[in-house]
Amino acid sequence: MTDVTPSPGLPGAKKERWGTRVGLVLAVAGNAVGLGNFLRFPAQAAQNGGGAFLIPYLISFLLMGLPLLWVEWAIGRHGGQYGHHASPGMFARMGRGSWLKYVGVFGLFTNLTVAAYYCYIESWTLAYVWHSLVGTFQHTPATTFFPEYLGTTNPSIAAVPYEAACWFIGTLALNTWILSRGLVKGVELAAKIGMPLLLLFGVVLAIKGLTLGPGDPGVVESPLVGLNFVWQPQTSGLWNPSTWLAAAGQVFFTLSVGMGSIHCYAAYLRERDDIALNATTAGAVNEFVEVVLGSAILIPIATAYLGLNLVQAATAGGSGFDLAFLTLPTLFNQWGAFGPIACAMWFGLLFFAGITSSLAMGQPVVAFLQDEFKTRRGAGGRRVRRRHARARHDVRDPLPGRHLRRVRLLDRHLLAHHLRVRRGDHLRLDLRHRARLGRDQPRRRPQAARLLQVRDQVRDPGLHRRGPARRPHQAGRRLGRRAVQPPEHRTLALRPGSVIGKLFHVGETESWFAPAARSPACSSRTSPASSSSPCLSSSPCSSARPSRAGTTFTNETQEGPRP
Amino acid sequence: VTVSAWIMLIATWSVVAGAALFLVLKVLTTPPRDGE
Repeated sequence: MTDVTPSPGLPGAKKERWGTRVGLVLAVAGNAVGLGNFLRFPAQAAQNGGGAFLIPYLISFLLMGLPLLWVEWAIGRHGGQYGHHASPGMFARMGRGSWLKYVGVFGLFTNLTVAAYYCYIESWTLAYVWHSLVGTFQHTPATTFFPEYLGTTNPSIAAVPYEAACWFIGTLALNTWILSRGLVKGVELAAKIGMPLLLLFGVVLAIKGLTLGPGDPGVVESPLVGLNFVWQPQTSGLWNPSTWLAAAGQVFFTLSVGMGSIHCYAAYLRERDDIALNATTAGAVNEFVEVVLGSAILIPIATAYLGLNLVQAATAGGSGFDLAFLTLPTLFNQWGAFGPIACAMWFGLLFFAGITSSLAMGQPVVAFLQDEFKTRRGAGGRRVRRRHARARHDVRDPLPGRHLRRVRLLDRHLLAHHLRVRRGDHLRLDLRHRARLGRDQPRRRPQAARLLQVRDQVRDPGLHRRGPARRPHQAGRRLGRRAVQPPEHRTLALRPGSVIGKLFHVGETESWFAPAARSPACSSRTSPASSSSPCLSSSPCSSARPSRAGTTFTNETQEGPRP
Repeated sequence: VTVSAWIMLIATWSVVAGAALFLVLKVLTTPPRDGE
């Protein structure tokens, strides 16, 4: 169900869209579901009022998290309609000032910064999956394995943890490979596989952990004590501002808002896709994973085998990181033959949570390179690039040798003075039409001569392109290039019933100004051709004035002085 | 587990899981709009 709508950019390029809405929701939920859902949330809840923490948490989610999700989805879909899938291009489209694109750079910088360490932690989970399956933790405690794995046992600064480096490189390669497969076959497919497995592993581990009893080997306390530790409401915490701050911080952390990754995913929406439903669903799936599964696995299982006091000490810093990587692998040994599988499921769960998030961090960077530098990914991308190269050769280099420079000078003259097309103006449309004409017209025909045949499209590209019609003065605005003013002689007829028509009194039979109120300068400057236009203000000669975009508004129905 | 903890747990899990299930089913059953 991949949309293969031709892009207005490169000839032959296909505009990427989400394949299915389920895939979209899973991918965005996977972006939000991360290591923090399982490692940070239960510790934060336990340290900030227990069950009472959920009150500021859910209020923050409803008042800040959900609206921010909608805003980011809306920004992303808006930018995607203009061919921008990364925040710099989207922000450049949001306002008249081109400086906004520099604000959007943070949408790339943040993702790169977080991904730099996130992929490394992700590689630990993948390594733990392997070592769980091969039975490493059955004879080596995780407290011994982990420092050796990281190489911290060797004091030399030249010591390289080769195993950790190999897993890290492998994780980076896996992320790169998935991203190179494109949106539908890469990110969406990974989410469709990873998220159901994550939910399955989470449900299995939660049921197994909560059903541990005093008769099971190694169990020193009921796991329900750990559950009580997380959910016991301490209402005094509600009056502590730090509790509300921690709740709001956890909401921001878990939803991944303000990073630019949601913008990117939403940019691949169709114009009529439902933002409210999809965004709310993705947020709700994330909350389910965090509140239900996140609180039912780590702390209850650890409490069952370690006791509440040790768990309280381990989560005092507001993170369950130590419990997850140092303690839990050993505790799973108590589960007999199911232990290695359960350990692999736990770290597989963390790995799927991690990779769906790291892919969301990489996608904006890939999209930025594609959009603004016209790079392509994968074998399909190479084919597109070759087709594009042929089209450019046909059109841009129609004449060989010494004639080429003359033709280009002629082209430049015709483009600038006759068609009023400047550098950066309507570039995408030009390329497409040039490519089309290049297949039909004789090769030795100059570029401007071909453009003359499509001058209507060049003059008003908004009528011929997909997506929302743009205002004429914005038609040539692209990232990194200044806005191009439209032809000054254009006339825009306004409908009497439209909002702007009412603003400019189009079609009104009564004049707002008596003839005597007109300034002499106005009547003297008004040309016969424009004398029928209204005088909109008391400023000198405001009739038939050009708009800020250089467009002249004409009123065809008002005539002469009125009472 | 204390009664208050059970109340918070059941109430929160019901709301969160119910909302997630409802919305997922809504996404799955809503037909695409014209033009999608």
